[in-house]
This record gives sequence, C-alpha cells and structure tokens, in this order.
Amino acid sequence: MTVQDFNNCVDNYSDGVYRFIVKNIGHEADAQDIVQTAFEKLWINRDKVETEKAKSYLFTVAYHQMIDHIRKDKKMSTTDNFEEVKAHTQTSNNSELKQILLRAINELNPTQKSLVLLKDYEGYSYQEIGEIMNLSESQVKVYLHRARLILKGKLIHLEKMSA
Amino acid sequence: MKINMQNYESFCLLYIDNELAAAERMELELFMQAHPSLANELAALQQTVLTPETLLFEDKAILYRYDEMEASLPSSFKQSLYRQEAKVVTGYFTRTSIIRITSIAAMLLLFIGYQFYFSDRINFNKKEISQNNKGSLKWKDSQDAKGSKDFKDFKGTKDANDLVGGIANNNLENNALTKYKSKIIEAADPNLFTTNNLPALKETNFISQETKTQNNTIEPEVVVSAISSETTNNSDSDPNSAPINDNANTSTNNANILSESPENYNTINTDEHDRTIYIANFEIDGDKLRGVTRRINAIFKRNKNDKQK
Repeated sequence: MTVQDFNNCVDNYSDGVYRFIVKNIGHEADAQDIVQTAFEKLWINRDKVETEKAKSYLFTVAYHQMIDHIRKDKKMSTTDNFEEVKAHTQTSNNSELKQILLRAINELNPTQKSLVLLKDYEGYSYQEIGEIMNLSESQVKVYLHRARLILKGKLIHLEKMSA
Repeated sequence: MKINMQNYESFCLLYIDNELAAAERMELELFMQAHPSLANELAALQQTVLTPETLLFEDKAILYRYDEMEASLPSSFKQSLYRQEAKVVTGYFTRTSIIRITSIAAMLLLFIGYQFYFSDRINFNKKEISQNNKGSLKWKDSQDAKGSKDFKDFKGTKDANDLVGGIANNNLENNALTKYKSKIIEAADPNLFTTNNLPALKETNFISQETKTQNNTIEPEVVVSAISSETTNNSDSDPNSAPINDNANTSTNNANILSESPENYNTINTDEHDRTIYIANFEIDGDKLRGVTRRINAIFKRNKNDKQK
C-alpha cells in the first residue's frame, strides 16, 4: 500500500469508521481516538494489508479497540449517548420514530448494536460482519435476528407509550 | 425451501437484511401478497432498519500521511546514538596502597637523584682507580720480563717497528750478528769445544738465522729472543750454559709473558668489587640498592605485622 492508497483510505473510510464507533460508544473524542489508532495500525502494517481489504481491516481494528474501550470505561449511559448522537447527526428525517429507534438501539448490548450498525450503516454481509467481529456467519445471523426482534418489540412498546 | 407460516419470519429478517437471493425475494413478496395479515409484521421489522446518516470525521488532517513522514535515519547514525553502560571499577586503589606506592616512588626518586648527583664523583674515582691499575700492570709486566722491554710497548709502538725494520736492514743485522758471535765465542768454555766441528756447526746455525733475516721474514718471537739473549748474556755471567739452551729458555720466557699478560689484567678487574648496576644512563650502586631494598622489605613486614595484630 502506497502513501496515496493510504490517504485514499482516509478519505473513503474514516467517516464510516468514525460513525460506526461514535454510534456504538456515543463519545466523540473517544471515537476519534479509536479511529486514529485504527489508521495508525493500518499505516504500520501497510505492507501487509492489501488496499482492497483496507476497509474491513480498519473496521476490525476499530471494533476491537472499541471493545477494549468499553471494558475499560463502563460509565456509558443511555441518555448521554442519545444526546451526543443527536447532536452530531445530520438527519433529514428527524422524526419521533427515528429517535425511538436510536433509543432502542442504545439499549442493545454492544455486540447486537455493532451488528445492527455494521449491517444497516455499512451494508456488510453476514460473512463480512463475522470477519470483523470474529464471529461465524450463523452466529451473526442469529444474533442480528435476535436484535431485530428486540428492536421491533421495543419500537412497538415505545410507540404505544408515546401514543 | 418453501416459505410457509412457520418460517416466514426468518425469511422476513433475511429480506430486510438484504440477504436473500432475487428468487427468494420474489417468492417472499408473493407470499406476503397471498397473506396480507403478515404484511404488518414485515413493515414492523423494516422499521428496525437504520437509515444511513452522514456523519463526518472532521479532523482528517491528523490521519493523512506524507512521503516526508517515511524519512528515517540510517542505521549507522542510529548506532552512533546508542549508549552503553560503562563498568565502574571501585576499590582497586585503596588509600593505603596509594600511600605505599607514593612512598616507594619518592624513595626511588631520592635514591636515583642522589646517584645522579654524585655520578661525576664516582666516575672520577673510577678513572683514578683505572689509572692506578694501568700503572701496576706496567710495573708487573716489567717485573715479569726481568728487565726486558714491555711487550706491549714493544709490539705496539713506533720504536718497535723501527727496531724490526732496523733488524731487517743488512748493515745493522751484520753488526748484531758479529756482536752476538763474538759474545758467544767469549762466553764459551774452550773445554767444551775441543773439536773443530762444533764451532763450525754453531756458525751454520747463525748463518741459517742470517738467511732468515735477509728474507725479511723475521717473526717477533725470534726478534724478542735475539734481544733477550743479549740481555741474558749481559746479565747472566754463567759461561757454562750453552748459547742454544739460553735461546730456548728466553724464548719460552717470552712466550709465557705473551700468554700471561692479558690474564693478569683480567684478574685485576675481577678483584675489584664492582657492583654497579646500569639502567640506561644511570648508575646504581648495588651495595646501596641492597640497603634500600632491605629497608622497603622491613616497612612491608611491619605493615603486615600491624594488620595481623
């Protein structure tokens, strides 16, 4: 990987990695640190990593960095995450349903949250998600379906509560 | 696998995750059209899907890399920056050992300085001694030669050469021979020479000596013997001794002088108890050095005894 390839990766994938992390941990500065660490590791291993696999490499490194960060800092609160995410999202459809969904996602465990985010935001397949999160394809399928059903139940419940 | 009422939910989940093939998607859509009561469930699941948001990482500049960042120092320069811990040697020179070394050095300096200061005086004394030895040698040689000329002077001086050259001369030689003849004839006992043959034989002997001298091949021993024979004939007034025997005796005496004279010189040197040690240009008197070493040993022994106590 040349310097130019690396800088292209910064342009193409830094936003996605940052979004994935900040949606997971809900803390902007920590998310930036994790993104920076991920690109630092990519730079160190630029001779080993192919350009085509740079995106999944960045997400993999960022995900494991995030898990370490979550283990170290368990002070995350749902309210804070929601407020921070709300402040930095540029959604055109800032509807009530969207806020309810985000609140429901924040109540998921980190693995389920990561599965949803990787699937919905990045569009990764089950296989790719398994590679990033070090899970099998069937595990990804089961965990993600379980997360969807939880979200569905929460959405129905919150809609009823709001109504 | 066909879609039915038992498995439609998993097909719906795969549908919203976009994990179904095109044929399966068509099949699920047909199934939903056939079962409109289930369409709400599919819609509820579709609501769990997050719509992508635009969320930018603003500080991309800290992530960019440049060619200049790849610049690195050569390994040789890096090695020049390395540091290594040096071994610290402690307690090698103690205070007592330094005092000992300095005291010995000071004593040696004093001793060498003393020797250097009085070296001229010692040399002067040595010269005097050597001159006295030479005088005694001359005197001894003259005593051994019993009044004859010093062999050294005779052999080495110009007079000796002149003398040899003079003997080689015919006139001087003839005079010496005639003198020698007359002296022998005078000294000879007439009783011993009863027959006329004996003087004739003696004459033939002298003639043979004469022929040798004429050929200029006179050996120093012969010359010395001739001269010594003169002196012996002059000094010894024994008329009974034969001249041939006299010649033989004097020649043996002179040979003894030649062989003994260097030995006498050596014996004089060995008698002198010279214990001088030469170190480069410095002279060290052995007797005095022995005294100094004895004192140093005494100091060390005293220190050892103190430590043992």
